[in-house]
Amino acid sequence: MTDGQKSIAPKALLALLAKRGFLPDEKRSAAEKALRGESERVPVVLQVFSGLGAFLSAIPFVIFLGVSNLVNFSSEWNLFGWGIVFVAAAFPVGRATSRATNLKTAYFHQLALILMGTGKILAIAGGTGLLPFHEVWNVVIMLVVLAGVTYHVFASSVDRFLSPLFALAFVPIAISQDFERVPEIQGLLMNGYFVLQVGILALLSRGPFRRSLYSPLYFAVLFSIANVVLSLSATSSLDEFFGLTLAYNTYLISGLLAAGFAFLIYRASGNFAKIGLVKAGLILAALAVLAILPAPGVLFGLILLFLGYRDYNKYVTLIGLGFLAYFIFRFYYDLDMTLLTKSMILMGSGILLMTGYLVMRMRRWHEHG
Amino acid sequence: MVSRKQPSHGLSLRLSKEQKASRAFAEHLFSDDIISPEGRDFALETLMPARQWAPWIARLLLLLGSALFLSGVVFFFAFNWASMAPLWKFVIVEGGIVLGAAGAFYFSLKALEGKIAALVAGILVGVFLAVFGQIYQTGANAYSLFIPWMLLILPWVILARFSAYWFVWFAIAQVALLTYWSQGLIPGPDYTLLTFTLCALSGTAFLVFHEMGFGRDKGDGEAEWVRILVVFYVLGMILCPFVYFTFDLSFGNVGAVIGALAALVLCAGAYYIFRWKLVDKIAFTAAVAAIAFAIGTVFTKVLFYDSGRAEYSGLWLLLALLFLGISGTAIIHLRSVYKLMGTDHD
Repeated sequence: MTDGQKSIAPKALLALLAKRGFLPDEKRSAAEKALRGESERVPVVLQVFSGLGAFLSAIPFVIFLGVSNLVNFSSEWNLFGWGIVFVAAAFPVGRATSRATNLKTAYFHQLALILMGTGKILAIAGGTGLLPFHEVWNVVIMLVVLAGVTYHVFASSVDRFLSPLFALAFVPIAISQDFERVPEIQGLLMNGYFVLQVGILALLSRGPFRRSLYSPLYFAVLFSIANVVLSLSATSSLDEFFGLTLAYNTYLISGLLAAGFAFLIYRASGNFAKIGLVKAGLILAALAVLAILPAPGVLFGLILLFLGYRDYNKYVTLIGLGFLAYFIFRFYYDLDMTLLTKSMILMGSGILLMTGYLVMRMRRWHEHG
Repeated sequence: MVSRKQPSHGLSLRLSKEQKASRAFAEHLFSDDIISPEGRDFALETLMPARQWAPWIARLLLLLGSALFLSGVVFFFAFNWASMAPLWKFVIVEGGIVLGAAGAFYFSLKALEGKIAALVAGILVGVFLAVFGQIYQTGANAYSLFIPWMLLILPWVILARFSAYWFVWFAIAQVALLTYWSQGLIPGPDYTLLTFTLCALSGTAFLVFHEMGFGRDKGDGEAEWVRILVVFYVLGMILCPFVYFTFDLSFGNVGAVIGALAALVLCAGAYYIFRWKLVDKIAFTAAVAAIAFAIGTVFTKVLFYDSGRAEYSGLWLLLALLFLGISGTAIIHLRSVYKLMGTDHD
């Protein structure tokens, strides 16, 4: 699902922009700097490796703190204090990364990650008992505060991705537990929170936030939305095993995702007139059907595929494919119909989509749009 | 990862050593006021022309449509299984196989439509064998279904040159092997761990076969994802007996001993192959990660060779430092090799 994209190096893109008069001479040095920044970007696969390495190293470190009695795990103040000490220690170690030679950089970076991870876990474990609110809100507050304080100053994309992701993922849990007995408010807050996340994602997709500093935050919000969509398929299990009531409105989520997808298509194409009224109408009709069904998982899978294709991101594409396969399966599995009816609907949907393909083929849209 | 000439824009660039410009890079230039809104639009249109979307959507429609249709056929059989006359069962399934094969011939195996038709026919071969086994009661062992299925569709898999088909075949072959191992050969307790080794070795054989027959001339992403998934599978499987042997250290368990030895060979082999012969950044990272994990396992065993040593806090600190050292060294090594491989990040 990734073919058809143009492979052009950043340097060649700059040369092309200059050739067409889009890159003024006075901006050349800034462009060169941006180019260097692009070439120094750490590959995702290495970031994952680094995060896993730090996580595995942090486990014996935490056990060491416990076995040596350096940290008193039954005292909240002690836990919180040590947590803050470790978080604070991670900053100079992290800064040493920029000063160190290449050889030392990796060790310093890993050490900083271990200190930061351990520190945050201890600070949250301790701080939760110290704050006066509902226990889960205390966790959320600690996560948000720590993520907010460290995001701009601790230059690790692993931490910048994981900290906000945990904070975002804990909010629905807090809403669910705190407003268990007031379902109206619970529903309002939970759906409002989903709308807010989509809004934040839209904001992060635009202008000043499209720089590498905010990229981990963008993916954290995207994964948090993925988490909500995934949880929709497991509401009964979450309730049964964890006592979590998820009061999401599936139609609202589905509608919002469909609208968001339409907006993404609009942005990618420039405007709907460029696509052509018939094609735009067909796309909007298909999205409306998915919103009405409702099929939020399928919609989100399609959005991920779209984003992965648009941004050359094979990981997002793969996750999108996984979402699509799982949610199409779930959609038909959950239909309250006989197997015969389900099979007819499945075959009908398949024939409909293949007819769409044949129409595109007959009109030669599949070759050049 | 493989070199491709860039024909457009009059630029002749070989991209094996250069990373692709991303949409984010264009947005970055715009947000830093380096280019104007018109420049941004031009850059985005260059990277992802609006007209490229239609082929992508067409492909998506075809893939999703085929998947849904095929699932519908399976559901239809599930519902009507008992009430359907045997003749009809055969007519429908064999009709599907013939139609799939005819579709592959009509569209040609070079086109996506033809490849998907061949895949549909291949899956229906499995349905046919299941129907055949049900009606003629050929035996209760599952491998008597999967082994013929795997062998019968192999020529189509090779001819179709379609990564999804290869992957489906790999899944069928793995199930065939596992069911034959557990139902046909029935290993004793000392050989149970050989299951992991068998999966890993068969995965390796598949990779070699796949790369020789398909992967080499399809380096633009088609074969890559199959390779990556199978490499992760192989290394994940082979590390299981290695970890068991390291902590158990019993030479009486033949399965664990063979598995541990195979782990050493496979990890080293993966490192060598993906570093030098079939350069692949993600597969190489997986090999380095597996080696790092194996070294970490050995150190853990050395430090905690008996459970009483878990009370020594200094050993835990030492282990944390060792893990830090292993992961840090691996990262340094990976970065230096990435530079030699080229800077195409993802």
